[in-house]
Amino acid sequence: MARMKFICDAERCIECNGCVTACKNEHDVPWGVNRRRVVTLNDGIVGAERSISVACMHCSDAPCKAVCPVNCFYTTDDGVVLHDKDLCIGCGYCFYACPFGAPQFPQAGAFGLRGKMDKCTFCAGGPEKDNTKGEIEKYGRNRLAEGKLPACAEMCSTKALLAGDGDVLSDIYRERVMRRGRGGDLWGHATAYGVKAATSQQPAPTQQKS
Amino acid sequence: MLKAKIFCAISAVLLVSACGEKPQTVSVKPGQSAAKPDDKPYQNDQFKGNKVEWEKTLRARADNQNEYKRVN
Amino acid sequence: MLVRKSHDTDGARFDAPKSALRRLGSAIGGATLDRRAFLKRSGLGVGAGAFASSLPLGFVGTAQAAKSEGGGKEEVKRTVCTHCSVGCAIDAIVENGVWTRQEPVFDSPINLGAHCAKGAAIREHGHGEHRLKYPMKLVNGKYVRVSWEQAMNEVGDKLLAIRNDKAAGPDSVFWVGSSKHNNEQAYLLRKFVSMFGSNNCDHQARICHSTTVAGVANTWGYGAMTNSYNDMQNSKCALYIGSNAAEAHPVSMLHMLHAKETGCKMIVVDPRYTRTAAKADEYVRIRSGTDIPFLFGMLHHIFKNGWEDKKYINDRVYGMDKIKEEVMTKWTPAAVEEACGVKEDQMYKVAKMFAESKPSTIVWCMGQTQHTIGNAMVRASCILQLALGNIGVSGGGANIFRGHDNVQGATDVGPNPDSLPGYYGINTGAWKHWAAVWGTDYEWLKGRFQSQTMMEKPGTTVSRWIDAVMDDPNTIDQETNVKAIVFWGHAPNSQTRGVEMKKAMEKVDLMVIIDPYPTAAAAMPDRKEGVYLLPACTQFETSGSATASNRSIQWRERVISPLFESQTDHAIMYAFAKKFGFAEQLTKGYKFVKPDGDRKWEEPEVESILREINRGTFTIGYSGQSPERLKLHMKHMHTFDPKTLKANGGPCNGEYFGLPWPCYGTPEMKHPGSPNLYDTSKHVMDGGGNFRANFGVEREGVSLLAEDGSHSKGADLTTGYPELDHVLLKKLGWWDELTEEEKKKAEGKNWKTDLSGGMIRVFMKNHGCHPFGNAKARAIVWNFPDGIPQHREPLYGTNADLMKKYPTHADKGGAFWRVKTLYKSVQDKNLADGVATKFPLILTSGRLVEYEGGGEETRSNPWLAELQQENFVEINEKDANDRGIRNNEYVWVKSPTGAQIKVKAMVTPRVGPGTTFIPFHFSGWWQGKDILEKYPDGAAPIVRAEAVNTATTYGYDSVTMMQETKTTICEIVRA
Repeated sequence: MARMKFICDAERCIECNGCVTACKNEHDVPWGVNRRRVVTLNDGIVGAERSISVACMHCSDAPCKAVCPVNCFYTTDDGVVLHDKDLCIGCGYCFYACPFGAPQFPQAGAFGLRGKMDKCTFCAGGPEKDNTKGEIEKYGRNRLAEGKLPACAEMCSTKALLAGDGDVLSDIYRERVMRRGRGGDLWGHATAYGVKAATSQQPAPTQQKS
Repeated sequence: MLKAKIFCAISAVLLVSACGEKPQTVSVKPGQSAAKPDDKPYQNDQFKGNKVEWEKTLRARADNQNEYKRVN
Repeated sequence: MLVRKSHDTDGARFDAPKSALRRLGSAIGGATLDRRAFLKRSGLGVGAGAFASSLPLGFVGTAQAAKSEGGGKEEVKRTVCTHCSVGCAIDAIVENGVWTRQEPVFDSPINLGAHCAKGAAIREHGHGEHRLKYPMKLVNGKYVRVSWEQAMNEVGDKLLAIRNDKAAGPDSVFWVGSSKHNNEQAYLLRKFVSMFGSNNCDHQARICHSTTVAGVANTWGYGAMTNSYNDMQNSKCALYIGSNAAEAHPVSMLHMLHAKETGCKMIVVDPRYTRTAAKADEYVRIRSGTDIPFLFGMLHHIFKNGWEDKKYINDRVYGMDKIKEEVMTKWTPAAVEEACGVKEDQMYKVAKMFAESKPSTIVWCMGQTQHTIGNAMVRASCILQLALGNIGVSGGGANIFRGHDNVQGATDVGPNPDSLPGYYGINTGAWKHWAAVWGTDYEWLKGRFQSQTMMEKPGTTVSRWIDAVMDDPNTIDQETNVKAIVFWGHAPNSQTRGVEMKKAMEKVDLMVIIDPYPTAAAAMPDRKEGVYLLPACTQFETSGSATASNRSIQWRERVISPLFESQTDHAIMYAFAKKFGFAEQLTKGYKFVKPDGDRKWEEPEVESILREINRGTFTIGYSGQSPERLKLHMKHMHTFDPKTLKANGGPCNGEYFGLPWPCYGTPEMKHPGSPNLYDTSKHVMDGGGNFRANFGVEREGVSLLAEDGSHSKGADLTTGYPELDHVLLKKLGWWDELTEEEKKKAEGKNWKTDLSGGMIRVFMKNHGCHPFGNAKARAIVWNFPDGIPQHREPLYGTNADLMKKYPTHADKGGAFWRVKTLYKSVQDKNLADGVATKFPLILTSGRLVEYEGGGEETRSNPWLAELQQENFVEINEKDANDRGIRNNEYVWVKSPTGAQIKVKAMVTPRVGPGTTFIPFHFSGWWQGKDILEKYPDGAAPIVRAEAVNTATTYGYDSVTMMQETKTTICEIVRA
């Protein structure tokens, strides 16, 4: 087993927010706390609109973990970044450090007792006994311990959002890219590889003035 | 019944103020997590500590995200 | 900049949004009790901790105390999402009677485990925090709780009084049924209204796809999606025109995006650059309401370049020559550009792409149907596909995406004003057929109506009930006005002309709302009394079948028992039938069940009702889908192929998933269902077919039957042939293949009325022939106002020149769905008044992915409501700047009706200059004011906002009374 990862295929994401409500549903996440959200770039701009689903990316060298003043984070053997809410002081320093805006700070209720940080757990709970009352209340369900993958990805409407062992996800994604028979013209390629997208292949939809 | 409740409440208060009290400082060791130790996801009734079985289950589960496994 | 979603919850990371505070407030008030009662019933708690999270801290202890860890009995119930017609399967985990989790059903060939926001949030139906919890009655302007007994007695007495009043009669009650009823309930409601003595019933299909159903059925036979979401994986090009599938049918995009990866091109034609358009290879922006110029503009290039399928047209299409003539002379590139704004080079590019990448499919939804010329627009789409030979072909087809989860089923067998179940119509023969199926005496049934004339006269429609209430009784084609309205699972804010609707609601003697939620109907009118709210449960609290858009029928298991005091819809129908004195006739031959013991009413068994549907609905092949067969399919989903829908091996071997109708003959005949309609490459016993012979055998000396050699695979008749009846069977010498028993029943009958199913068996199984005959599709539907589809400008338009060039229809008198309908007089008046200069923006409306229909149900679900907290109007930067409007500010959208609605401005290039868009799922505000106080306490939806239909205008389709929602006009000013 390599590391657990998320990947969102922007060619498939249609911004339906299924991942968002799947997460809310599975963990009974309260109003105002969004462990996952869908971001749309170039909203409404013909030919340029793209959506992508974002949550904690479970970084291998997690900046939240690096800056935490009480060292409440830990990385599991499978590469999932979790934290101990009993230690968390709710300072929000991880929020500064995170490049994705993943940490959430609930106002009230069991999730946010005294304003502790809450975030995506990759459906792996926290440092309590798996799927006990204690774990579910503080962290939500532990699907990994049930042999299931995160609810957001499992329920994704177009299978844009994938979750699981990074190696397996590569296989799934690679197959799609090969089927598409293209890649260089896809969104994000230029940013990632510093080369201009092969725009000739991209059928740029034309905007009609009316 | 009422008496019992009051007794419980009082003892709870005592507990908190005395032996239940936690140290108020955290000893931070750089690079080391202070979190409670967590069970492995396969250390439970379902997988009975069998890591290989757990990994196989997840591997099979991941295929559900790939519709090319069912259609071409 | 305000982007599409109300993700201004950024601030909410530290400060909960107002609505969350409101919610907490309500938790402190009465609502907490329900939550806690709920927790207690659950007795366990997976999930319970989370409920605690939304309670004020003081309640946490109590909530936790209600939990007993791990002691529950866990059951898995397989159900189907109720939010759209895709039909996504869901496994509901139920512990001690409480719905605690939901799991994806990867086995489902339809959705492969996938869900949109609504499907992934479906478990909220197990909470129902904002539901209507008990019967209520409006007393002195305030809703008060009453007992079921009192409510049923009072409502029953009032309805009976209207029915028995000589000056009113049974037609003075209008019943609005629901496309969210399951097939059995929808069917039972049609039967119920018939026994009440009226055809005055309708449901959402009227304002959804009525124009499609009429237009498509009249073109080639059946009014339904020809192929399936799954089959789109076989397409090489898909043209979406008037469909925003990414928001309205998100899981259908799973199949489309998969197809794109395997080489399918995707074209999206829409006035808005939608989420669907964002995935397209080619996006074409057209002026709202100009689908015919666009489609015929494509055809112009197709004919000009000889890309049409000449053999197919010769063999299987009637009237294409006339269409070609029209298209070549009238729809030149210049005329097309003038009408819809698309330049010649793009028209050519799109036409070439679509014509050369075959099989190619067309997708349309409300963008085409909801127009005064909707019936013509959908036929233009059909004609395009017929010209290219794309109908009856896997990967081709007219993929018409239906709306609600069971809108197809409710259209097929439910409460329609012009037909009994199965499109039998309402003539004497149809009534006699169904009387025989129901085991009732035809004469008794006739006696229930005011007269035989009324019995055979189509009722009014859900789009026009307001006129049936308000119009001068002398102009109405029934005894007198409608005096009572029953909304049985219906959101009135999805109909146009809100201001007039409110007046109609205030004028009727009685309003009855039977629904899991109070709906906008409870809060809209300013009434003091005469409104009753009766709590019905959702489809998760009962069992039954639902027909997805692709005609597959799926069986839902009951997940939980009806929450609060709610009852199932069929239990309520049965209870009313008892009150009205026809319970025995309504339920003759049914079994009865009490799934919840004495806690809930006794109800007719759902399976019994389905068996009755099976026994009578031969026309569209709802006869083969017995409850047993459907349940077997639900259990063995994994054996079906997601691309063909066919089971390869296993207990359902050779059958198509959900036995997509037509599934002809009796269940014993084992027809496998029809995955793609009119497909001659397959044997009829493998779901193959051809176009229907339903319009005579010749017209003006030209044969309407298919040419020789064009027939379904393996048919003994290799020429065109008329539909099957006893005479034909005898002539062919196949009569003696019937059993003696069958002969007795079949004598004098046709395939639709032979209750033995024997004639169908012999014709299909023994001879491979299609019972509805083998004919040509009609490119010209001569019985419609425009036989050849004509572009006509809307009644309310912004372009006066084009309105004069493409004028609307003449006004219609009262014989048309019982009310008079205006066209030309409205358009002419608008032109004379210069309305277009006062209201220079086109207003169109549509869906958001988080909400469904009128939206009360989804806006009551916190997981969804959080994502869209306000209604908004999309307006182009140019139009906004011209009006001094800035993004995220409140604006007034002003309608020519005098109405104005207050919504947030979303300044966006998604709409072009001159076009504006407002989603239609909102209600709970009325012209700038939150009407929270008019809802029953604790049952208002979390998100309330202005309904776009408060500001929409008059205009109806000239065949079906579809409302015009997609092209009207407005002006927008800063609030």
